[in-house]
Amino acid sequence: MGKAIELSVCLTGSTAIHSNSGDASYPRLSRLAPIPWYFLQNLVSHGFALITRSCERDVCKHIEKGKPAYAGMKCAGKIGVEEGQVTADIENKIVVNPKFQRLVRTRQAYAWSMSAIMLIIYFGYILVVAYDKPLLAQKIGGGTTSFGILVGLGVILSAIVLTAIYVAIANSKFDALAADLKQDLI
Amino acid sequence: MARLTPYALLSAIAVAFTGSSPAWAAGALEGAVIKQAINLPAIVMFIAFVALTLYITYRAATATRSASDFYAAGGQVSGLQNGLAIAGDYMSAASFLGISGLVYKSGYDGLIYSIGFLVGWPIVLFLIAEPLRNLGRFTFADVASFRLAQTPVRIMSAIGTLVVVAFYLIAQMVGAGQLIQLLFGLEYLYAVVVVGVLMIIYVAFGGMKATTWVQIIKACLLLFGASVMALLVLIKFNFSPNEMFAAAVKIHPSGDAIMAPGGFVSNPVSTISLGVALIFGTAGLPHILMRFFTVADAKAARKSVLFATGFIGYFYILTFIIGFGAITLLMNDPSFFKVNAAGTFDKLTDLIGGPNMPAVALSRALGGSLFFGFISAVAFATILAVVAGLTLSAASAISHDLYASVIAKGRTTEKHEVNISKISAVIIGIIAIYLGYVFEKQNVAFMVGLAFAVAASCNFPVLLMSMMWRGTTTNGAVAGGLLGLVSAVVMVVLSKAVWVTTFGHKEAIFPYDNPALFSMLLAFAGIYVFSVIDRSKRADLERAAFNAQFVRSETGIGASGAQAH
Repeated sequence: MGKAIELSVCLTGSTAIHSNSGDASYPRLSRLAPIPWYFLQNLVSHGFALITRSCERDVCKHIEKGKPAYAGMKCAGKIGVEEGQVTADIENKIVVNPKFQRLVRTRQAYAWSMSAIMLIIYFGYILVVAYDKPLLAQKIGGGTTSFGILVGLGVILSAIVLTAIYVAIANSKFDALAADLKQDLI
Repeated sequence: MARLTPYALLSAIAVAFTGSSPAWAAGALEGAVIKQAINLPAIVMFIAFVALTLYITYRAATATRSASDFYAAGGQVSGLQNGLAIAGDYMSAASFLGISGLVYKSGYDGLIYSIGFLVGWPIVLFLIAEPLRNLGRFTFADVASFRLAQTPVRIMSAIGTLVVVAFYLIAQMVGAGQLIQLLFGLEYLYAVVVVGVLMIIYVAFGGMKATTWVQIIKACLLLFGASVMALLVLIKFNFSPNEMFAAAVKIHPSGDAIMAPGGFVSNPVSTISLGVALIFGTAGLPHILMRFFTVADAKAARKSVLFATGFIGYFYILTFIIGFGAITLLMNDPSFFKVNAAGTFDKLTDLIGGPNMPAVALSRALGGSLFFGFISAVAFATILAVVAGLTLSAASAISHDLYASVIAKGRTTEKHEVNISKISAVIIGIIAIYLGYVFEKQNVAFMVGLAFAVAASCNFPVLLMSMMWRGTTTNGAVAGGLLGLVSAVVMVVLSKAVWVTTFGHKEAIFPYDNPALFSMLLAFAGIYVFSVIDRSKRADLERAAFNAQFVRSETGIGASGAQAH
């Protein structure tokens, strides 16, 4: 690798500036603790410049306002401030990574369709309550218990079951996809 | 302070013994003696609960060193613990007493109502929980403002938080005062002060660690108490729900109608709007959202929703059984009612203590004075834990969003920020006591619905759109969020609950009971339109910053653990 590639990595939370430690008011490169060490080592060994996301955003704002970056902002020079352009190369690379796309497609497909199922079950139930009360009033098994009680319990159970299904899928499928993606990045 | 509370409560014993409150004045001298024996266990158990929680607060206070400890319990809460804490936040006295009271009054309609509260949880899991954990640290404003301009978005989120908390807190404080007045014979104002002072102590000294543990203990006590009650009811009917329903239908004035939907869904639009408020409001309640920052990662976040959903669903099934148990065991026993001169009473309206009391009265019918005391103490503990959670989320919004990010622009220290939070908690507690006092005689029933409506119309759309839609810009989020907030409040003011009931006008201008269906759609439309027409350079940068946010939101790569260090 001849030329050092510049890229920014989101290392700390968006609010890390003022609440990460002690009395320091601005981000410093020394605050890299949250990132897994191997990842860090790998990046450093490739000569990547590391910049915190929070830094970068403040720089954006300052470019916008035409002000110089903070004096304490050691990272300011590293992200192409002169060009007025902010790079987020690592994320932009991850976003086009087929494994990332597969993870997102899979997870969001489950998330949205399962949300839709839950909403259909609930609002469907409400509409039956609104428009067909006799159906729910029907007795089952010749006793006092009405069909509506069963349906109501069914809606409660469906919420719990849907939640359990999602968690099971997430624990196996999504986590595996994410782990696979992270392997790629190392 | 710690010693003040037991004293205040002990002085209440005297009040209760003399039978000065209507609840205890029902019988003659002999009756009063029985009440004495009945009330003591409640006070002893409540004092035990307070002592335990104050000890936990003390331990938590000594273990709270960083801002992460204070706001997020150091991120060390496990999935099961967080699930219990979330369930605890959600199983308020309003749901325990209110829903069982509704089942008692109208049977099946109570079940319909409780289901609305539950189905929001899967949505929270599918759409909110994991990205929220991956993107945020202490407040949901962290997430909403992740790639947007800090100042306007945080101000807007903080307003959303404070409005929701204010309405929710007033409802809880008034309910607390009335309930404690009834159960312990403590005067309304004292009751409100006791609740306010204890919640200040939990939050200001113990932060999230204490608040979480208070919530966990209370959730366990409540689940245990409700389980025992439901079990005792079912034992009476040989574990046959059918026998229980048959007995209830025979006793209840409405007869077989209690087994089917009644008047609850009279207007489908109103009911759907209420459903929207309950489902999406759950995904926008600040004191619930902040709980996701107390776990280590997205995996623990989803696990906590699974536990929470299970506990809450189970709890609503219990309240349904408890409501029916109350019908069968109370309605034929005049000792639970205010009997008039003619020796008759209305089974639905004359229950001693009012329409929220069936669960508490049932505990006396089932387990005698000891169990009655236990359930009373649990009801009190429930209120305390919920108001503590609300106070912490409001204090976090003030210190973390308004103070640290907006006023100090990040130029503050962690220690200073936490101190601001503690001071805020004290001030919020005092305001809550004052509001609880002022609103004593007001109808506050609409306030929980309004809190959910605002959460669904302001917090939830802003959160979801900023996380999921690349096009969201600061202008869009702020304009849409404010549109949702203002329209929700205005529509409630113009609805029957306020316009007719409080202001005494003849007819409501807004025809439905809950505004969320309309105000939430307005918020989403506002966010979309104002984002699309935003052609500023800032907007371009914000859209460009979506990739980075999206990667972190979906994978957790780069997510700051809430753990200290």
